[in-house]
Amino acid sequence: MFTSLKNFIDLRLGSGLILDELIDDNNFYLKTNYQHFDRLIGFLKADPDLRLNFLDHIFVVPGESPIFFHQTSPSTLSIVYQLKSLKLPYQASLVIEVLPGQDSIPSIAKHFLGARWLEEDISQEYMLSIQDQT
Amino acid sequence: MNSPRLKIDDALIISRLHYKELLEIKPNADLDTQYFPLVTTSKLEPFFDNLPINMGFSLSLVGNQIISIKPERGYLSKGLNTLLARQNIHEAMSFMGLLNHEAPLFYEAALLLAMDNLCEYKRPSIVYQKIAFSLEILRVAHHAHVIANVLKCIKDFALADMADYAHGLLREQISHFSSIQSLQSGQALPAPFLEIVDYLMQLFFELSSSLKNHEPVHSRLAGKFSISLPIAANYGLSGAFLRSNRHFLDMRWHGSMKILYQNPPAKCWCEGGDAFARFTLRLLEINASLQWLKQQLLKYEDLLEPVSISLENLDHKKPFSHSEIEGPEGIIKIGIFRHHQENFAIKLRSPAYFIAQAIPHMMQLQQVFDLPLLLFSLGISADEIDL
Repeated sequence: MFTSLKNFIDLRLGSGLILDELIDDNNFYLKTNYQHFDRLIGFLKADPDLRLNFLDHIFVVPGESPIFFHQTSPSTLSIVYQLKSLKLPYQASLVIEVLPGQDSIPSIAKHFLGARWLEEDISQEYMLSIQDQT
Repeated sequence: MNSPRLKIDDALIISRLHYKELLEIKPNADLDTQYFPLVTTSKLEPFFDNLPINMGFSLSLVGNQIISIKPERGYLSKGLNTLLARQNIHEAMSFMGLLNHEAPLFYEAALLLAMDNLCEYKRPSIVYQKIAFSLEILRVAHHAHVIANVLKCIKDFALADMADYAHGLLREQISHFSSIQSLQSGQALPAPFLEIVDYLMQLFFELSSSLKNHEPVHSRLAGKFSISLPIAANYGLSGAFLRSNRHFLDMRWHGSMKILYQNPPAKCWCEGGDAFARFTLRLLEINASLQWLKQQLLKYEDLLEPVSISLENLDHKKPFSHSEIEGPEGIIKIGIFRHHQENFAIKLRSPAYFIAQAIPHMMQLQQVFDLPLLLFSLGISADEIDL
């Protein structure tokens, strides 16, 4: 098992993609930004050492995120994408923040078929459009 | 050369399918309104009842073959998450019954464990043992009901009656185990529970033997509604969808659930990934659960006594927590996130939501008269999808 998923990703993809990490039992919470989000989701799913290929949940935490204490930006929502490994007993959550004035969030439906309804529900509830990744 | 009979019914909407009407859809029947009624007063709901949930499907057909199917969720969608966001944790507990009013304990236990985790609070072990014990009773009752419905769909009413009888027998006991509130009540059980478990083991042994080489069950379920392991994971399907593909993911065996299941029921899995494998898995899981219930009853005499489960005076020590319960159809997960002092965001993952989303994948190119069989074999509740 990993002691830090951030360190593992830094080694494989280069540093700077993961902005913050919090480890709770066997859950790794990784904060990232929109620029690297799609690449990271694809990597977490496909990397043979990670194999986070099970879509666990996507949800929104309103207000300042309780997940990361060192907030650098005044976010209004945090979107948490939870993935689980079917091989190892651990899961990883990618967290992105929705900043004031932002009106769209990236989609992971091209990676996970089960993401569509969850994304649609978030889109309707929080008036955000879904940005399909190419 | 005869031109193929091309009958594309654009978006035939079946709204609020009803149990009785579902059973009346006959194999090999011509598709017309006689066998495919548009029902306006009922609902799609094989397990739980009485909630006016609107759930339907838009179908595109060529003859009797389903070309595409789109679940039409009702208008209560997203409601529960919104509702929970405005409640404190104690009030949220009372809303769990909306998802599964016959056996709310699955959701209540997930919320209770998440809350205990948030407060870093450990209850007496008998509380967790009794919750796990009750969950297994509810699991057996659920599987028995789904098996009865599938057998009715296949028109084997003799075996369906047997499964129904087992479900009925458990139904008399369910009120003692169905919710956190009922676990605290000191109401006496109507019959010695160990005898009931023994009787059920015998009943399901006979049922399993009769179904071993049961041609109609095999021909109607084998090779149908298949879903492979990678696709199941992609859709977020857990429970039988993974275990029928020889993958073992069962939260009862997971380290985080040790507090509930110190010694979980035997592991069950099979292969094939189709409806027949999932049906077989239900029988295996019933047997494993009953064996386990008997062991627990013999080991812990006070399991049938009431326990006290207080939700008051707990200090929230962590900013967020999660818990996962192995429900009868997959992982039930609840996350609690604290923000702004005592306000909480409670996030709920219902397996039925993900299963419903995968129905189009499973039903593509299947015959329309197999739709009720698929829906009954899934054992999901519209309430869990739509709230």
